[in-house]
Amino acid sequence: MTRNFRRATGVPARIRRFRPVAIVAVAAMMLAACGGDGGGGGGTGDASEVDSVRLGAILPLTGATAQNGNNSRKGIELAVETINADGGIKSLDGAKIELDVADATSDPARAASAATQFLTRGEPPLAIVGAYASGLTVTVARVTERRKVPILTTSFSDELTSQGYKFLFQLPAPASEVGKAQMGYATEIAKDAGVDLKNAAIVYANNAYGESQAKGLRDQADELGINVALYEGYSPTISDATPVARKILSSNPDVIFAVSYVNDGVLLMRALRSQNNTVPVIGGVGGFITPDFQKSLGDAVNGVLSVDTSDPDKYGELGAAYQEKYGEFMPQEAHDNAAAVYVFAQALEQNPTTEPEELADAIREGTFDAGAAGSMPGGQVDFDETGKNTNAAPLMVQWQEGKLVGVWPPDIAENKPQWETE
Amino acid sequence: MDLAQSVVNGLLIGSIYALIAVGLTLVFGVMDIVNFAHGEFLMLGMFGGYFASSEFGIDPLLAAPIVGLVVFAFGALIERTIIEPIIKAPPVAQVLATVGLGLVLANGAAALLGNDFRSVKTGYQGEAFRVFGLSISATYLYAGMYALVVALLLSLFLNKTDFGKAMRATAQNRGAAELMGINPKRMYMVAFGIGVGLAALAGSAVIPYALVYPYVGQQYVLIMFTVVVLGGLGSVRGAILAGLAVGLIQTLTTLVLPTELQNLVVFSVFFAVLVLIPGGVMRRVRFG
Amino acid sequence: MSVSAEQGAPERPSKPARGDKVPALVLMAVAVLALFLAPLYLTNEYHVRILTLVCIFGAASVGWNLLGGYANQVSLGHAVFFGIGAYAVVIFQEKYELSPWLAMPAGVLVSVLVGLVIGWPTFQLSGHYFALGTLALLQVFHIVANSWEGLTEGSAGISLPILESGIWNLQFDGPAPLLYISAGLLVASLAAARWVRYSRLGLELDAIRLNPQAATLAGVDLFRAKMKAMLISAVIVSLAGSVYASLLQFLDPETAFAWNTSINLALFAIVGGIRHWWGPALGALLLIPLAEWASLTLTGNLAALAQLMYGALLVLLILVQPRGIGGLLDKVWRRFTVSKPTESKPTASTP
Repeated sequence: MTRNFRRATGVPARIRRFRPVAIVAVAAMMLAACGGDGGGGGGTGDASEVDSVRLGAILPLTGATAQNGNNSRKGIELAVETINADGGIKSLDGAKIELDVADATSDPARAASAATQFLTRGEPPLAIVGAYASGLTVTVARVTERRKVPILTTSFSDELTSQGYKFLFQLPAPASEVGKAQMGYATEIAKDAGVDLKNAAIVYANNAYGESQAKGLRDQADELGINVALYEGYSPTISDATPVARKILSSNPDVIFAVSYVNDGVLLMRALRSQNNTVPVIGGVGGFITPDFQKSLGDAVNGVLSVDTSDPDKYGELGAAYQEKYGEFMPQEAHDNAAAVYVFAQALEQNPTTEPEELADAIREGTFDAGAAGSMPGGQVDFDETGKNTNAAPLMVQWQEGKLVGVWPPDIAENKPQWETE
Repeated sequence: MDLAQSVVNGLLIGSIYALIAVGLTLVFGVMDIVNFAHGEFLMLGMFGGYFASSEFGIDPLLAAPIVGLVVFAFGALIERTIIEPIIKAPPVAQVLATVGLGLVLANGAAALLGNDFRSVKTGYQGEAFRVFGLSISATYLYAGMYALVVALLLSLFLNKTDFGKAMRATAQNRGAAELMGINPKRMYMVAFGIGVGLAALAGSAVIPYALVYPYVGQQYVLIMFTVVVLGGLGSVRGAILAGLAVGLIQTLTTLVLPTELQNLVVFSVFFAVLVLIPGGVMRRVRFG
Repeated sequence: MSVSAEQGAPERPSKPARGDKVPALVLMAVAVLALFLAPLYLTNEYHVRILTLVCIFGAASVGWNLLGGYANQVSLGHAVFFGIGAYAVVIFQEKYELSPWLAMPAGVLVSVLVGLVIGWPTFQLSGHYFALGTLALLQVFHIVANSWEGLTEGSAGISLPILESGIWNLQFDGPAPLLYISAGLLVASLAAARWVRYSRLGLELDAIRLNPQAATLAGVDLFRAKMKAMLISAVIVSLAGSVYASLLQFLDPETAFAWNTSINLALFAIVGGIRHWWGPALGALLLIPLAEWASLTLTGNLAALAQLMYGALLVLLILVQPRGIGGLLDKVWRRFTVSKPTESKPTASTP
């Protein structure tokens, strides 16, 4: 059944005419590529004469996680704008933060290249914020570690703080702890409502985020003596969640834990609903706490619980500013990345410097509560030698009347949870 | 009961696959081009259905034919400008040109419409029919039935109408068709337009239950190709049957294996069929 | 079955006259020299890194071309070999603390075995079926890598531990050593591609490309020829994957068995010119910096535009010059040499 394809002699003349143009265009772009990214190695400026400090952000701005990447970017940009409007880094004579953003395109190699480019240009950033996804963050961390430049990340992969990186700082709790909290707190909320959980169904997107958090869920279930009736990974690009929903319901759970993105999360919720599910579904950060989740499910979103890395009730002024600027409430990734920017700024404030290594020391040793860092759990961010945030404490949030509010544990949450079984 | 329910679900999702694949196989059958941007036309259709609902309050299923027509016209334009010149190019060039086209469409949508995940709200979302103890989701049912009807109509079109027959003639032998007074260029335009228009129509039919974002096309690409090859490149009937089959395989697999392996089985079956029955299951049915 | 009609004379890779061979070799030698000297005058690590990527993917694409360009068997699943080579390195180094230099032959061995196993069924397919069949195989590997946690750590991927810098560990403080290694790989693959081009195998592959039926009648064993090409390309692509893993120091199923990688291998080949042994390397040289530039200059809100431009450029290039840069250079060359009437054959045969 082979067909021989004739040569492309069929290219019409009207298109052939553009050949030279195309070639020139490509050549020009190549030259631009060579020339445009700054000259030789970096040189840091003189500390006494800075009017700006550079911050680099590397995020997935296109591709499947583009929305999360862009939300993160918006949070970072808002933080930078706010800090600059408030007078910049006062201990550096009001130096403004200049932000450079690169698209990691969901390719770890691209993320690493972007990091390399940032750090080898004429004015390299003092620190990097990124890269949202663990795979991207790991390759960036290799570059920043070698160059002794701090990287602040909101990726909660466990691995990032267990590799011995000295220059990586992780703001949220690691995934395994997030998973544990998801299980533990859900159990407590249920108990508070008089329900004893015996059977749990755990489903998760089968990538680094989903798997590591699901493990945390299972470990905690084992510890609490809860039977894991189903432990199932699925591809986040699933186009039909009905089989997953069916599997969940056949396992007769009292509670369902999902670690999902928006797309699969919504599909799952809808599939569960259409099969008359009455069991509460507990989300695992990711899609369950995004504006799009609420928009897609409408009123059906009310009552859905999820674990979160920061309390939306505490987002305060910055949250309001985000709402005003972008027309929707500030998602978790926007806030936590903004917190990273505030850590950067406050560390500079406390230790004015233009040396990334000194900044890294300052970040490691200091305590940060300015702006969004102050609305992280515990009211402050503080790193230990492995780069973990010692104050990181996941909490439970719930959709109530179309808004996401903190509901558990009672000592930090402002609202009460509702355990709903219809 | 679980088995019966799985079969029903599998057939429903399978008919969506069928509809998407039918367009793809049509393009291949007539023009011998594998269109790697097909998923992006699906995405356009999903956006079309979304906007019909959110801006004009029209149910996406009702809007689907219109969305399909609009994309048909757009597709014909694309065919004239981009596809036509590469029909005679080496297959690897065709692959890359259509991949490039896909990138342009997906990122164009991202640039113009943003990255949000959008979803429509219809009255019947979340509803399910209970029949014989089985639960059938309304949105899936409507989409599935829609898909089957359209696919059957297309089959009729190709077999019973003059235009359809002319298209099949062009597919079989362009030279001879030309001699018989058929304009192959026009055939190609129409075929491509119909092919991608069908994908868009399918998109509008599924938006009641699915979410749309600019890169959603990538999710469907591989399954679509699997279906098309399984049914025999160029065979519309094959695409329909293969679509249903793949849907069934996916759902039945999850009865016994972890969900994340469902595609493993699909691809393995696909590969086995490819090797054992070269030309796909419908190889004797050349086209139509 | 029509015999494909070339522009004028049918193309035959018969040994070209000296004059045709030399320019390509000379240019290659100059380019290779430039590559090895690069780290000395390119102080910017970023540029060196880009060049390293060009070498890695250039080599892989040259390998792919043995099957895809020479024989017109377009495989969209070659990333399988790339991923195997890459995983060999990370598994060996992370789990067993063995050097990548030991991992590379292991990766090659597994790739060759996989090539043998998949070659038998897939070579019965042709054209689009072959392309899509290989694509399905890639997906199978992707899913297996995701699920076989015992071997690959599943979707979390494997991070290489930070080890002492040195050639044994393939971890370095600076970017230059990896550039040398990947440049070495590129040279080796170019040499292999050139050797195949002018060998009997090359003739056979070309015959397969032009008219498989006629080739069989002429006594070519299609299966063996394709298999040889497949295995040589598997070796090259596997090694490229291994070097890539050492560059990234991290690997997960998504990165190892990426659909994009397969597409890129084909893309570089076609842009550079699939008829030439050096074509794919040229394509990589052109497109990799371009893609990097696009994602760095247009960013933030405009990130999607950068990708859009890249896609548009692809389409444009294919429309306007389907024979790639190689084809363009051929034309230029022909214009300069057509005045030598002593060349007995029409210079449709290209170096």
